[in-house]
Amino acid sequence: MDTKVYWRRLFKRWMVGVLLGVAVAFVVVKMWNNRIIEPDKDTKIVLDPSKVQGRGPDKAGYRSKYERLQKITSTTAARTPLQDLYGTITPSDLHFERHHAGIPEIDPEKHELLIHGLVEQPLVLKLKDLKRYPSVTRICFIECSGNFRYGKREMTPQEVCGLTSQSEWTGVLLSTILEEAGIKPQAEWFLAEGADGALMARSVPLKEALAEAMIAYAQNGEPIRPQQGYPMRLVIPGFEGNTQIKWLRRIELSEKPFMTREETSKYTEKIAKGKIRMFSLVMDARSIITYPAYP
Amino acid sequence: MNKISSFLFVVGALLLAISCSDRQAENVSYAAPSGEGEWKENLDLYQKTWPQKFGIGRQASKERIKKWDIDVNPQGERLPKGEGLASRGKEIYLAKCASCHGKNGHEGPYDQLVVTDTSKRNTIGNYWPYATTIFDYVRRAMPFNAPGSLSDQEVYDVTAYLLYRNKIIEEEYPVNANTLPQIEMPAKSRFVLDDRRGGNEIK
Ligand code: HEC
Repeated sequence: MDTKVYWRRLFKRWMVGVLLGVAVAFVVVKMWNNRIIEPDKDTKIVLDPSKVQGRGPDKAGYRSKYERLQKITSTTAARTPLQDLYGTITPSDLHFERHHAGIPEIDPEKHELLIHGLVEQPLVLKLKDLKRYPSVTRICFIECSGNFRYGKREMTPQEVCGLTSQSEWTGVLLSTILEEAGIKPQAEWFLAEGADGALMARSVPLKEALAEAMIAYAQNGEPIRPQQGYPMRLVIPGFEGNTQIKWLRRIELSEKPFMTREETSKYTEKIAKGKIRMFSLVMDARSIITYPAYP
Repeated sequence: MNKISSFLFVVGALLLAISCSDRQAENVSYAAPSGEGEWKENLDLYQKTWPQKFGIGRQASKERIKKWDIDVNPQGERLPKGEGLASRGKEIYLAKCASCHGKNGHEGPYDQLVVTDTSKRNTIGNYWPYATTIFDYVRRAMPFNAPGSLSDQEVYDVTAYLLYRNKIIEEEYPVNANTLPQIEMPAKSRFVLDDRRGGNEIK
């Protein structure tokens, strides 16, 4: 073999080695910097966090490794660990979830909210427009109307009632936006539609919603999480969760309800005499003891 | 001795009663200013400072609205042009729906779409009050793995097929903007509005 070629090959291999080495060193240094400094695992000395330097500040924060707060998930829902919570606010990452076509990933720059139907002036609003309107902040619970399971004794509060959570919501009152568009006198309902794969759609009675509903863009002080409807969702205090459309993209005012699948085939209840109740929108009172509780 | 103890008992009971009534009074005055009332009052004050219109956002053009205005209500408003036939719908169903809803529409794995004599599950033929909802729902959300991918024509055809398989229409019945809202669904008369009126009643 030509010695020149031989040396070139050797050099190439050597370069690869160096690059790999640098990469490994980089990763090791990163991990070393991010490590949690803990006292020596020597069982003879008492572990004492007051005798070592703790970990430095962190950009996103984290829970104590001794706490295991977790939702119970299925393919379409996640339940809040009620038994592990205190006070009245559900941490945003533990808010229950129920979706019909997964969690869409929405770029707020591209997202638009269309207001039309029985209004004087149809409007298109972007997230940044919404934020310029006067905001309101309010603590509200949201509960899935399918909440409450029973059947065996060994159930945690999370399993029994985990499809309910409470947050501080910030946004614009629906009335503010609809009055901006101008409500025509015939309007009695509106359709709220999401931007997810299900284009989730529900009819909502206008009068009730005008009193209290809001278009929220923040939850517990931060932008609403994708699971809860980022970049904007409807919050209708006291109404069943399904009507509080997440990933809200359209509101259409109308005279009559639209009778979508979600208010006919689903979210209706069989009652006495073979009848089926629809638009049972107001959630009844519910309570559960979270401590002491199983297990 | 007896007198003293009964005297002490009376004094004690009095003290207890006073402290209880005190606590009650406290509660009442505490509950009044907090909560909903205050939220509404503050909101009213806030709203008084607002202008008539904010002028934020842009006006929506007719074309913009048309692009998204896809809902179909029981009156059949906004149903597109076209006509559906069960025979054509069958092919679409077998190609694009059967894998999840079963070859005959009732064997799953997902939601049953066709009534059978043996199953009590809620579906189109025994639970859906409006035929227009089939069109609306399939166009917005199905097929689950490619929502919104069907043409209006395909939605019409598959709607006709589902109605036919549920024994609601004849195989040849043309489903269009005119006929679809007129189709009487078997479960229609069972639907009632919410009549709960609060209070202690449990229904
Ligand atoms: C990949 C699986 C899949 C395919 C393919 C599919 N579906 Fe579905 N379908 C589902 C699931 C899952 C649901 C329930 C969704 C939910 O509850 O949010 C559903 C629900 C429905 C419902 C509502 C049932 C009810 O009782 O509420 C109808 C109607 C329907 N599908 C029709 C169709 C039609 C028509 C097609 C073909 C064009 C189709 N589906 C293709 C999975 C599928």
